[in-house]
Amino acid sequence: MTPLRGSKHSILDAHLHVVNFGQETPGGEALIEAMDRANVCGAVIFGLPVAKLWAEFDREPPDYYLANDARCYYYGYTDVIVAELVRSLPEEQRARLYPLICGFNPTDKMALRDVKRQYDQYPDVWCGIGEVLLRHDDLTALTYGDAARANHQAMWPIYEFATERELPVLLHQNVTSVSKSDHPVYLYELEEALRDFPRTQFILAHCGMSRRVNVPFYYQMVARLLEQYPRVVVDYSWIIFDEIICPNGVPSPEWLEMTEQYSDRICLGSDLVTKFERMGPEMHRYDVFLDELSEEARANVCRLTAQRVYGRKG
Amino acid sequence: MGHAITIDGETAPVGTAAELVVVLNVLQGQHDRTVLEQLAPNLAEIIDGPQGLHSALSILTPEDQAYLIETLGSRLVDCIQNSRALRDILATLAEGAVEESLLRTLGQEGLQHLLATPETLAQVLEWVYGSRDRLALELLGPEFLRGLFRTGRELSLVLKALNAESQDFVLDEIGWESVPPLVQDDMDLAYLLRALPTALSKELLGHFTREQLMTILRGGRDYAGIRRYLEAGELAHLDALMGVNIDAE
Repeated sequence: MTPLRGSKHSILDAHLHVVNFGQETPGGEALIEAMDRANVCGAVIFGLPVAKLWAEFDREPPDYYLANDARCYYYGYTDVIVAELVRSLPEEQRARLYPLICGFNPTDKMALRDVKRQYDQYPDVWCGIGEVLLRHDDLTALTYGDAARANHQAMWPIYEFATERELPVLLHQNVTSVSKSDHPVYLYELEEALRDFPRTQFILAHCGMSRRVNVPFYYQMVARLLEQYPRVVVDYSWIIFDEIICPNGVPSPEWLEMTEQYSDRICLGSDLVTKFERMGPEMHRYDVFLDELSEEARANVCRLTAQRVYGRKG
Repeated sequence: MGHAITIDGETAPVGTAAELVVVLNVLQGQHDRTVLEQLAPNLAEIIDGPQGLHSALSILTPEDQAYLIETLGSRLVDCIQNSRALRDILATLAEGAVEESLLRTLGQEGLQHLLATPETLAQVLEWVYGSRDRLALELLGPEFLRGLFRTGRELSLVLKALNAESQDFVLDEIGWESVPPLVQDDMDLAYLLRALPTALSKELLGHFTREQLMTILRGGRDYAGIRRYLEAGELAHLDALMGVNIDAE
């Protein structure tokens, strides 16, 4: 039952949804308890910018965006849920959390209004913006409105605001479509944003990968992004670890090498959507990879990169 | 902090169904029964509701599903809580033996508590098959079934979820003669006939008097309201009962 206790290395979970697609949360106390049990020293937390509709035609309420065919819609109140969760905790526990704003429609040119409103309402809470759900395969298809993408003009004011306030921006942008696995058809959308906002601190969630999304030469693509855009950070979370970085529990030598080289630009996350009780096993699976890294690289990947990127500035 | 379990010298707390599922996942199916046995006195508290029961059942083998259900015993009904949850759990159980275990553990009292309306009974019967249909109906008992239906449409909901053999059983249980008073109007009759195969429909029609049918069909000769719902044989039978077929020609 060792996996229940998490990684043997203390980790800052850099990617954790504390609200689910039903916009419910187990709460702050449950979060901290799970973190303690799983040897997680801190967590970058956020809600979910979309809620899954319980459609008139569905007998059962959905528990995930893929639970059925019902659509999703943007749900701004998710940020309030997160902010109140944080404020419900004592100071020393709050200090372990890095909450991000995500409750806005990234295809609405008025979205900045919602970000500013949150930022002003809870100035003591927020450390950044994200996870902004942009290109996201099935979720994009299920969400009402335009397809969200990293180069959508509605995101430009958000990036400007983030840059001014030194807020990191965590993006979920698939590098390609589910039906295009020979080359990354949506990578250019991300790169347009990276090119136009060279001073913005971007984090590319799970290296642009998603369920059924894959392309050849993945690590070379990620290495090029890290090399070409010095403000870009990536997180290893969700399925990229099991499918690409450490398939069948065996660390890829190429990914180990790249992680050594760019460890100050890489952080680790669970990408759990609540279900905090799974935090231990999720973090434990990283050990086989972390054990192969140098001490310096391991410290960066486990904690230091995330602390530097998401830590409050000034 | 939960209830401690010890496997191979290692101890972990289990306080919720979600934690139980994670433990079983981590142990990769090697110690499921041992975990359940160690938690047996506290399983109802850990499961604590339909969602918890559903998630625990979803990870267990059929043998351990049955063990969990039987261990919950009289607390099972509290875990399931409502008919919707019972329906959803039955929908995901693949083994007849586990369905039977669930129904028997709930027993008459549990089933009558959960299935208080024709709609809920019908939805549950959708997901049990063969002998378990019959078992559920037997457990509910004829007196309960007789008191359940107020209209033909309500009875039709339940009949629609059954095979012909079980339909026959239900009609025997509540008494064929008790059906005509349930039928309020022509559409009520139409739903009822359409829930049955022709042979049973004809048999059912035989329990109506001509006067009852005249009232239900508002004396109409062409049964315009229900004509499109009837099979040719049923229509001919109805004509014969009404004594209008020859005149109409």
